[in-house]
Amino acid sequence: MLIEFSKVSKRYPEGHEALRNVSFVVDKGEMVFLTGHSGAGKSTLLRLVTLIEHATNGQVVVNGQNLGRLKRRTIPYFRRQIGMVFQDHKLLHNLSVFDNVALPLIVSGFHPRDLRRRVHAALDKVGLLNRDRAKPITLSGGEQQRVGIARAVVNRPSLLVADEPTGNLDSGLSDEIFDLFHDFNYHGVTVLVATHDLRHIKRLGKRSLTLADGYMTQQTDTAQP
Amino acid sequence: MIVWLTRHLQTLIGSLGDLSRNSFSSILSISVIGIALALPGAMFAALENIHKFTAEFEHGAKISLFLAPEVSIMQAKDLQQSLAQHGDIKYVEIITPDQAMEEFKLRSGLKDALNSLSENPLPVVLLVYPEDKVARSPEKLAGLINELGKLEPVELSQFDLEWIKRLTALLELATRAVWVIAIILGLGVFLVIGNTIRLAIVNRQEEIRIIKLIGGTDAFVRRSFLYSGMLQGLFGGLLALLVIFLLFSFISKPASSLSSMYGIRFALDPLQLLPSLILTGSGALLGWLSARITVGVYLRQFEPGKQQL
Ligand SMILES: Nc1ncnc2c1ncn2[C@@H]1O[C@H](COP(=O)(O)OP(=O)(O)OP(=O)(O)O)[C@@H](O)[C@H]1O
Ligand SMILES: [Mg+2]
Repeated sequence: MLIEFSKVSKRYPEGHEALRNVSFVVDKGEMVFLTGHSGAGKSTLLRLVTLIEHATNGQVVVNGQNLGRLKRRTIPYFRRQIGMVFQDHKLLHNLSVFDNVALPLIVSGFHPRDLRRRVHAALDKVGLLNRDRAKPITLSGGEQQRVGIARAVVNRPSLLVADEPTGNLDSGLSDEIFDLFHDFNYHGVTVLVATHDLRHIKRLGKRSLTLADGYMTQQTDTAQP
Repeated sequence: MIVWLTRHLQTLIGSLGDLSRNSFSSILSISVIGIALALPGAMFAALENIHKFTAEFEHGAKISLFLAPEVSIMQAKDLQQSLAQHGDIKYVEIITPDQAMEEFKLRSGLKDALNSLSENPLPVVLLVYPEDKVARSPEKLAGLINELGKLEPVELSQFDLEWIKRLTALLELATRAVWVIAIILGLGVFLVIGNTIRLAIVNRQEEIRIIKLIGGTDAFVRRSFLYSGMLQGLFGGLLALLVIFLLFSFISKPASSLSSMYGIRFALDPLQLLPSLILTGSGALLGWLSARITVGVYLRQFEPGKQQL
């Protein structure tokens, strides 16, 4: 399995218990949805997977690594195995689309010779090859999100994590985005997506995990489309 | 290795780009650094020149021995011979009364009045040039003068010693003062660069968080700030060199005409190559150090966790 939570709790310093005794498993090559009401703890769960936060109790294992034992120094190398997509894209607005997508490669010391090819392949995948010189600010919200996705996959991560990637998009655009995730999953990438939009779970026929007030209340099997 | 090099080159070029993008604040901080470095730099250069100037004096340092009137030229020549054997003395020159009179006539312009003298009243003078090591030490020089003064045929042994002594002490004091100023201003440079780096970090905190999220190490984030600190210090150092150069070319004419009045051929040197390199190098080093410390202090505040995902 790729992700394993065992009795994980997360209390924020302010004292709020965002996750309580959560256990679940995501297998390699799966695509899993994470749902729940606002404030249920979806973002918190994803932050534990990407080591933006540490669990207060319990054990989180990702890609065979026990995250509680990871040294601060090694966190960057751990994160390079994960592609992250954010609701607000988190693009750098002073860089071009090309440079934004190239950033994970530059950061990990990728050989400059193969960089261009890799970045173009990722941009091609999300259908933005012709916009590589544009500044992100000149793109539409859906296009910016696709740039974010290209950046997330350019490193060929084994795990793709997305937190409400279509939160600001209309339904046509969000279908496109989810179809992209579906396609990556088809090619072997494990995908974990938090969303309010239950429509896609049905449409794509994938498993879902449901959180409520920090508890994991439901784990469905593969939904029937 | 090539990857490593290109990465550093990219960061360097990137930092140059940042500097030019934030041109106003960079120009401001580079100017402040330049002035702060120019001040002690110019003072050190000035001290260096004064040292050189006094060295000219010491080089020509000579003790005049005025011999008693009854001493003949033959006896004076014997004395000259024996003094030349002295370990502290380089060589001895003899000035006969006739030579002295000729020179006196030339210098004073009292040619006619002096011509009317029936007898030459001037004594024989021996000019004693001490060894350099003696000339450089006021104590040894004093000992030598004293020793020579006690010789039988010598009526008066003269050297303007106090002057050298005072100047040497003054230079010592000035050098220390300049060091203190240099350290204080260096600290100022350190703080100025630290502050611009701090502002840059705050301005780019979103960028820093994103870079950390996509797997950028602390070292990667740090690098561009280190380069920009180093570049600020380097450009500040170069500016300081320019300021010093202009300053010295501005005062070099009066300085050389002043020294020619003392009969010394003396050209004012701006900083030599090595001190120039030291100045720019210490600017760059200060910038790097300051950035290193500032980044170390502030970078941890921008962990990805300290914001909403
Ligand atoms: N950094 C934080 N500090 C303190 N409390 C937090 C922090 N982040 C989240 N919380 C709290 O933890 C709980 C879970 O938040 P989380 O963001 O995980 O919910 P969510 O399911 O992602 O909600 P949404 O659908 O609105 O994004 C909320 O009550 C929230 O107030
Ligand atoms: Mg959320």
